[in-house]
Amino acid sequence: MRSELTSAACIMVFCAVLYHQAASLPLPRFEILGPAFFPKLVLSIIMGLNFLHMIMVVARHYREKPAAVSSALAAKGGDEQSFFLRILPAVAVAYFVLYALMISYTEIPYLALTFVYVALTSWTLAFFRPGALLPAVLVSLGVTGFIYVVFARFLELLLP
Amino acid sequence: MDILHNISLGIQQLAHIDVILITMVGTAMGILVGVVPGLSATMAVAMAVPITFAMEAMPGLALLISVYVGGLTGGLVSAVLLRIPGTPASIATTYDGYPMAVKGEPGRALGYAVVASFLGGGFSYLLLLTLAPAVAREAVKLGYFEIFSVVMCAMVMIADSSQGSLLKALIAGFMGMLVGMVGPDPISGTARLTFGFSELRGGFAEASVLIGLFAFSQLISDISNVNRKLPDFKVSYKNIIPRARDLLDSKWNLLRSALIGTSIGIVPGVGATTASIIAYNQAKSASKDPGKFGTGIKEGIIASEAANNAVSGGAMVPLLTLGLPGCPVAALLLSGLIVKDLTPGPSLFSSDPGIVYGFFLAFILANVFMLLLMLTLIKPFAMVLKIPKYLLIGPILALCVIGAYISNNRMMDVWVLLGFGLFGYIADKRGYPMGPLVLGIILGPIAELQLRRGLSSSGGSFMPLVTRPVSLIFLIIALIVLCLPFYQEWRSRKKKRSGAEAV
Repeated sequence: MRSELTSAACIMVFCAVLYHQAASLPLPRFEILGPAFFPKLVLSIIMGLNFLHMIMVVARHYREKPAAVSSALAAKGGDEQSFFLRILPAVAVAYFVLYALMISYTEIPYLALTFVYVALTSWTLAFFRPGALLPAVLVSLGVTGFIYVVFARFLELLLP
Repeated sequence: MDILHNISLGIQQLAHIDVILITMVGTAMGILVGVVPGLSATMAVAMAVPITFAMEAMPGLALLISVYVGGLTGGLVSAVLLRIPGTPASIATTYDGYPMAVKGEPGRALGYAVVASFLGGGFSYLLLLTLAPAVAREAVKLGYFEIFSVVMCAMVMIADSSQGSLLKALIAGFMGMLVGMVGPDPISGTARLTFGFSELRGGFAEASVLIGLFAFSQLISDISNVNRKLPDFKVSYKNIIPRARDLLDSKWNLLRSALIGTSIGIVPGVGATTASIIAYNQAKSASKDPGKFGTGIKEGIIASEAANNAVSGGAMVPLLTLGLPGCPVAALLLSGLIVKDLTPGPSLFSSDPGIVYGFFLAFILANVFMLLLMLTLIKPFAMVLKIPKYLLIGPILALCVIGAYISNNRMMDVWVLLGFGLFGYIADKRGYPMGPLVLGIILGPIAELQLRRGLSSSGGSFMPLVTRPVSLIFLIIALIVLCLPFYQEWRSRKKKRSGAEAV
């Protein structure tokens, strides 16, 4: 219940901020509704649905309380995913952010950055097994080459 | 005569060596992506969209279509060999495909699945060729209020068909509409919801949003499966080409499944997964030996695969005739069309019949390539299953970056991709489905524009929404679809209570 209510509260706050932004849009001049009407309407609908969802979550929690507690206790014991596997998505996202930042703010060529990024990401996802390094490097070379040949040469597009 | 002339215009669009090669390569790429569990046809098409920016209209559309057709079919390989659907649409293929493979007939199982996919898809594309122009002629009569009602009805149906809570699906749909409103107001041009960022004055780049939601978020979710070892399998070409007698025995099953798939494809939000399960259940009900289903019989495989491929043709009907995508892939194809200055709708049929019929014929061509490639190269395609997942995720993420960048040559779009990727990942984990969200992004601006134009023409009156019959019908359908789940829940709770009281 807590996570559901947290998500719903975040949505409420987000919608309130956007509603404040939408309220500052100019009034309609040559038509009935104007640019602010639809954003405000959609935001109101989202907040209304969200509020209803919060009520239903609370009602369901109190209605099904004994079952929910026992299943929560069961779930606690059942989850044995390793710590590294659990943080792996966050690590992958962190690599991605670093990659994008380096493309934006450094002079290092894009293709070199891509090669390093793909190799590092693949090796990390293989849990840094020594045997996985060579395949990761080879695949990275292949992908970098593919991007260069297809996007830069064949399609004649500008790379970052 | 008109249709023959239009078909010849379509053939002229398609009959270039580069278009044919692109269709073949696109089909192969789609199959390769579809084969791998965890990667979907939708992801493959999302990745292909930015590549089409640098292409002419017909080659670009042919690429998207062929990737879609290939992706839909690729899922059957792991469904048959491993009992793991490569794409969700192949789930019903596992029921009989895998048992048949285990019995020592993987080639025969794959053959039935591939040929059924070809025939089901072919049926729906031929129907598309004849049905779409007729629907387009009637669609011209729809006014602003009718289109607004159709869009709202489609949104509700998509939300209703999604997994999980209807409320969450509706919230996701409306949040998608909100995302679609960022940028210039469609009538006055005023920048909305940009928070002062000049880069958002033009709105979010559609390619970045779609790649973020479909590719990036799904890959990040799939990282937890990176260690999953797939079971060993055998692939064989033995009996891969089904006997004509076997197919003729199943002709009614094929026809029924293709019809189910095509009809379900026309209805927004339902999708290939539901179509294949319904067709499978129908085949079982109509069979003289329903008990044999699930033991590895050809009727189960044929029903599932014919239906899931037939959905692709049906889904193009609302897209091309009304400009309304009824599924995420149609939304991606819509963005591919808009980038080429082609606005789908009734007017496209008269202004650019060559492109429209080329679009239809591209489906047929991709279908033929799918059949040829799958029957001859099934072993190499199946070998993709042996590639460890850790070697696939990094390259696809790198392709996401370049795909987002090339739409406008700016890094802002890569950050948009990251933002929407994380948003999609969190939303998915919290039970907010992607389908309504994406369709809200596409359909929201359409609904707003149509309603505002309608109000301008009616002098500010909302009455035409209920006085015009077509508009009223769609609003009533939307209301029924919206209220039905709550009514059903209330009835089931009432039954439980009266059952408890009786005890």
